[in-house]
Amino acid sequence: MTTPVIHVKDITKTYGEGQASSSALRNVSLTVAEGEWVSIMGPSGCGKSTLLNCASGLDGIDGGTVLVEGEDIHALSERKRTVRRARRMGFVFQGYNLIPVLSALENVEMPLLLGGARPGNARSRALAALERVGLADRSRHLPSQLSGGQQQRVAIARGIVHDPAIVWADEPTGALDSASTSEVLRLLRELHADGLTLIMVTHDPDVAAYGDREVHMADGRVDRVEDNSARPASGPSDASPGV
Amino acid sequence: MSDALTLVVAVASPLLLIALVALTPRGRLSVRIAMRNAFRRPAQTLLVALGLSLAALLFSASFTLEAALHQAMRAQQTADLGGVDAVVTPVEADDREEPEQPEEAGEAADTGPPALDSDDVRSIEDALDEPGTTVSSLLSLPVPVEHERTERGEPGLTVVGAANNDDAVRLVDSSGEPLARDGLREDDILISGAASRDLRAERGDVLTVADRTMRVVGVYETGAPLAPPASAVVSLRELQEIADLPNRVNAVTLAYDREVTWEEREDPVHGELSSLARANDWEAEPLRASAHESADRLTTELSTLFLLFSQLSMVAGVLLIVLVVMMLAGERHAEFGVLRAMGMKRGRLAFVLALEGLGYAVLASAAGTLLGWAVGAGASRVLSDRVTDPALPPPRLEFGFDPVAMATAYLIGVGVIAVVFALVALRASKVDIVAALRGAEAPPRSRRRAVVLPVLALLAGLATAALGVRNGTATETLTGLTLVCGALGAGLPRLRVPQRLAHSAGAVAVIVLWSLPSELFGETGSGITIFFLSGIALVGAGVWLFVSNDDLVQRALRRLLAPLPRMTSVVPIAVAYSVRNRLRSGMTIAMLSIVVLTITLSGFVTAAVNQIYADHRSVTGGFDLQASWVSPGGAPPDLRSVFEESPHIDTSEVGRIGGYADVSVRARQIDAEAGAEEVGVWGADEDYLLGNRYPVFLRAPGLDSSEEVWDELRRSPNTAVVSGTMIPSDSAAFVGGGSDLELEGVDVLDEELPGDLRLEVAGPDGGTTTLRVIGVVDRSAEYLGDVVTSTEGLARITGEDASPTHWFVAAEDREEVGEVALAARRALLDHGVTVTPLQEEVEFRASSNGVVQWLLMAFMGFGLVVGCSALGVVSIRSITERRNQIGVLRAIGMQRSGIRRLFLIESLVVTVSGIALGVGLGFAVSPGLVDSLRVDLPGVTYTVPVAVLVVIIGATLVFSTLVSVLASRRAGDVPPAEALRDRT
Repeated sequence: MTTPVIHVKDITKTYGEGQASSSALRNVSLTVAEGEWVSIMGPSGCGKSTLLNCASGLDGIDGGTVLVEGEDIHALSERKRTVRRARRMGFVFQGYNLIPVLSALENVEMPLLLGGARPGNARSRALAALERVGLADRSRHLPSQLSGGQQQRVAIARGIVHDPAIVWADEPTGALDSASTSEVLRLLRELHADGLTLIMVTHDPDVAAYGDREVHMADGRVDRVEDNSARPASGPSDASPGV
Repeated sequence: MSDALTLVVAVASPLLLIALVALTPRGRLSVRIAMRNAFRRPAQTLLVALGLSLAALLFSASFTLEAALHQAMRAQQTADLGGVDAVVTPVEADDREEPEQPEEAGEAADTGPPALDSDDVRSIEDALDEPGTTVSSLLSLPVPVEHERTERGEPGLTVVGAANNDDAVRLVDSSGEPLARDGLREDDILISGAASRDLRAERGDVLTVADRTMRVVGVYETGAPLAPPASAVVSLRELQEIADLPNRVNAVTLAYDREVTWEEREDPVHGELSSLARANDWEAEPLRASAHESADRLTTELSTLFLLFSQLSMVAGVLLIVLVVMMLAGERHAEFGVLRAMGMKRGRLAFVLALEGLGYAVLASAAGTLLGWAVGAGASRVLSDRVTDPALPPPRLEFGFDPVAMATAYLIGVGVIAVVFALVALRASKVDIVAALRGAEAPPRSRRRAVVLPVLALLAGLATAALGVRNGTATETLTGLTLVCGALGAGLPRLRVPQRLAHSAGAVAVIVLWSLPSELFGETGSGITIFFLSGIALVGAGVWLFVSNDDLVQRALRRLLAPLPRMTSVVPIAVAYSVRNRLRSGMTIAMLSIVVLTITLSGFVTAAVNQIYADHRSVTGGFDLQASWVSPGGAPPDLRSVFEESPHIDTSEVGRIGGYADVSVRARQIDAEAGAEEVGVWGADEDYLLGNRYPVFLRAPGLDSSEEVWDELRRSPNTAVVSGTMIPSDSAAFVGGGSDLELEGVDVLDEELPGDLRLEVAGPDGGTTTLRVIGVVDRSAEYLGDVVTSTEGLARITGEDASPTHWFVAAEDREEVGEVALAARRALLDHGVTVTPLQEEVEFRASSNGVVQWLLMAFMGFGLVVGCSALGVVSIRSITERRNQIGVLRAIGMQRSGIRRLFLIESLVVTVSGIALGVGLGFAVSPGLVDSLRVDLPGVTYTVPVAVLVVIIGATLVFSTLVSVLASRRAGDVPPAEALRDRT
C-alpha cells in the first residue's frame, strides 16, 4: 500500500443524549491510501454517511482520531478545518446540492473563489472542469435547466475543479437513472485513473464494485472489507450498475 | 353594556369561536393540529406573534393617542373653569341699551363694565329647574397691578372677586394642594403662578392694586374661574370697592350637580335661562359643554391627522402579516402535501391553517393592543404638552385604560390578522401534492388564469377611470388609470411583448401618472387621500420596476461588490437570492420604502413650512411687538404720542407702528350660496396699511402689486383684504384649518380675484355694509384678521369711532427687540396697554409644529420597526429554507463568517433597495408637493430635510442591520453535517 492519506482510528459518534441516544459509529477504523477508491457499503442507517462526514471533518466525533494527510483533522480549529476542506477536499452529494440561483459555471467556480483564486483564473479553471465533465456548452444554465445526470456532473466538476487530494462522494448516483449513473461512474473512474483519491458512500453493490476496496458496515461498525483491486481495470461492468 | 364588559366580550368572542369549533368532532382534530403546531416550536410561535402584534400595535396606538389626547385636551380646556359649568353675564355696555344705573355708581358706572345686582341673581336662581345647581356670584375685572420692588406691572390683570365661602373658586397650588380662602382679609390678594412670574412677586410681597396696597398671601396654579392664566383673587367686597360697584357682580356662575356629558346646545342654560337672558340682554354660556366640544374638535383634528398619516404604516403592518403567514405556510408545504395525499380536502386544510391563524390573531392582537396603549400614551404625553395652549398650565394626563377603544383596536387587530390568515390559507391549501412531497417548486400557474386577471383589472380600471372623468374626481380617474397601466403591463407579455419591456413600461407609466399634478385629473378632494393613494401606487410601481429588472440590478451589484476583498465568493449568491425571491423581497422592499417615502415626504413638507417661521417677521407682517389696550374704561391712547412723551423709551429705536380696532360681526359673500358666518373685521389705520409687509398673493383686476392693494385699501373705505384662511385649500390639511366663512368662486390657483367679489357685513345696529374684496393674503399671515378694512371702513360698519385699540410695533434694529419691548412696557403701563413680544410666540408655534411633525414622523416610524421585523422574518425563513445549501457551502469550504456575510449582504440588498426607492420617490414627488403648498403659502421654500433624511436612513440601516446580523449569526451557526441531512 502507498502512503495513507486518510487514517481513521477507533472513532465513535453518538447522536442524542440519555435514553434517546443512538450510536452511529462504534470504534470504526479505516485507512485509505493515496489514489485509492474506497466504497463504503451498507444498509440504510448503518452509519456510512456519518463515517464520511466524520472522516472529512464535516461532523465532529466523540472519540478516536482522524488523520488526513498526516494531520489530526479534529484537532484543528473549525476555521482551519474549513480552509483544509476548501483547498484539499472535494464533495459530491446525492441530491447534487447545487446552488439553485447560480449558473453551472458559477457553481463550479465557487470552491476556487473560496480558496482565494482570482475571479478570472477561477472562471477559466471552472470552464475547463465543465469541459472535462462534458458540460462546457451548458455553463450558463441554471441547475433547474439541467437534467439530474447533468446536475450531478456539474457537482462532480465542482468537486474536482480545485484539484483536491480527496473527493468525498455521498451516494453520488442515488438519485440518478441508469444512464446517468453509468455516465457519472465513467467520469469518476476517469478521475480516479488520473490519481484522485475517492471515498464513496453507496448502498448499491454494483456501484460499490467500482472501488478498489469495499468497506461493508453494519450497526455503526466495519463489518468486513473486500479488496477489488484484483479485478480487471475496466471495472465490474459498463452496463447499468444498480439496476 | 358597561365599558369593561365590552372589553371582556371583545376578548372572549374569538376564543369562544375557537371553543365552538373545538366542540365539533371534525373541528376537534383541526384545533388539535393547529394547537400542536403553535406549541411545537415555541420560539418561532413567539416570533410570529411578535411580528403580528407589531401590526396590531399601530391600530391600538392610534386609538390610545386619541383617547389620551381627548382626556388631556378636555382637562386643559376646562382648567380655568374651576367648579363652574356655565355662566350668565351681562352683555357689553356698548352693545345694549343701558339699564337704569344706580345713582351711587355715578360717572364711572356709566362707562364702566356691565354688572348684575342681587335681584338679577335671584331671578336667575328662580329660573333654574336643574336640581342641585350651585349658583355663585363673581366680579371679574381688569385692574392695573404694580409691584414696586421689581418695577413690574400689569395694566389690566384680571382680578376675580368672590365671596370667601364661594364654591365656584377652588384654588389649587403648584403641589396640587387646595388653597384656603376662609381667612382672606380686605388687603389680602392671591395671585396665580403666571401672574407671580410676570410681576416677579412672591408670597409676602406688597402689590399696588389700582389705588390700594395689598399683600400676596398665596400663589395658586389653577382654580380661578373665568380668568386667564395670569390672574388674581381678592374678596368680592374689596373688588366691588376698588371698582366702585357696591353690591354688583358681573358673572353668575352655575355648577351642576352631575357631570356635563351633553352637547353645548343641550345645556340647561339654553333651555331654562334663555327667555330670562333674552329679556335682560344677558348672555348665558354653557362653558364646560362648550370647552368639551372645542377640545373634542381639536383632538379629532389631531388624531385624524395621525390616523391618516399612519395609514401607510398600517399598510406596512398588513404586509408584515402577509409575509409572516406566507412564511408559516411555506414552512409547512411538505406537511400540507402529506395531508392532501392522505385525503384531506382543500377546504379542510385551509380551515386548519385559518384556525391556527385565529389563535395567533388573539395572542398577537392582545399583545399589540397593550403595547400600542403604552406607545400611544407616551406619544400623547409629548404631544399634549406642545399642542395645548402654552399659556395655560400643562394638562394633568390621566392615562385611563379606555376599554371601548382597546376593544375596538383589539378586534380590528384580530380581524385583519384572521382575514389575512384565511386568504393565505386558501392560497396555501392549493398544494401541488407531488411537488410538495418532493420538496420541489410547484409548476407555474395555468396560462388561462394568468390572462384572466389582467383582463379583469383592465376592465375594472377602464370603468373606474371613466367614472372619475365623468364625475371630475382625480382619485377615481387616477386609480382607474393605474389599474389600466398595471393590467397592460402584466398582460402584454401574453401577446408576445417582451416581459421586461411590458412590465417596466407599466411601472414607469404608473410612476409618471402619480408624479403629475393630481389637479390635472379632476377635483382632488382631501389632499391626504391623494397623498395616501400616491404613496401606495408609487411604491407598488417602484417595486414592480425593480423586480422586473432584477437581473440588471444583480449584474450591477456584482460588478460593484464582487471586487471587494472577502466578497468574491459571497456576493454572487447573496445578490442572486435577494432578487430571486421576487414576491418576498418585493414585499419587504415595498414595506420599507412605503414607510421611508411617507416620512421623507413629511420631512419635506415640514422643512418647507418651517422656512416660513424661520423669520418671525414673515408671519407678523414685519412687526416685532403687539400692544393691546386692556383698560375697562376711558379712551384708548395714541401710541405714538405716548412714546414721544414717555421718558422710558427712545423713539429713535422704534421703527414702524400700525394700529387697528377690531370687531366680531357676521358677514356673508354676496351672490354666494353660503350664509353668514362670524368673522373678525379689522379697521386698520394708515400707518398699518402703509407699514405692514404682508404680500397680497391674489389681487383684484387692475392692482399689480401688494403695495397698490394696501394703498387702495387706505384710500377706499368700501374695500377689504381678506385672509387666505377664507379660501378653501388642500394644503390646509398640512398647515391648519380655515375660516368659518369660505369664499366661493375663488381658487388659490387663480391668477387674480374676480372684480365683483363682495362681502355684506352686518353692523351691531342691524344695518349692513358692503365691502369689495381687493386682495387675499396667504395663510401664513397669522397676525391678521379675517377681513381687513380701513379705520373709516370699520367706522361705517359699526357707526362709531374706530380708533385703534391694538398696535403692532417694529423695532428699528432687529437686535434691539428685547430692549424696545421692555421700554414699551414701562411707557405703556400707566395707559392700560399690554405689550407682547411676537418673536417668542412665533418661535413657540414653530417649535410646537416641529414637535407635532417629528412625533408624527416617529409614529410613522413604527412602520420602520415593522419593516425591519419583516426583514428578520424573511431572513429567518431564508435560513430555514436553505439549511441544506448552507451545509453544502460549509462543506466545500465557506467559513462561518462567509455564511454570515452572505445573509447580511442579502438583507442589506433588500434594505438599501427599500431605502433608495423610498428616498428616490420622495425626491421625485416632493417638488410637486411643495409647489402645491406654495400656491397659498408663498413663503414655503423647497428645502431638503437633511436631518430627517439622515435620521431615517440611519435608523433604517441600523435597525435592519441589527436584525440581519442576528439572523445571519443564526445562519453561520448551522452545523454543516446536520444541514446536509436536512432536505427541506
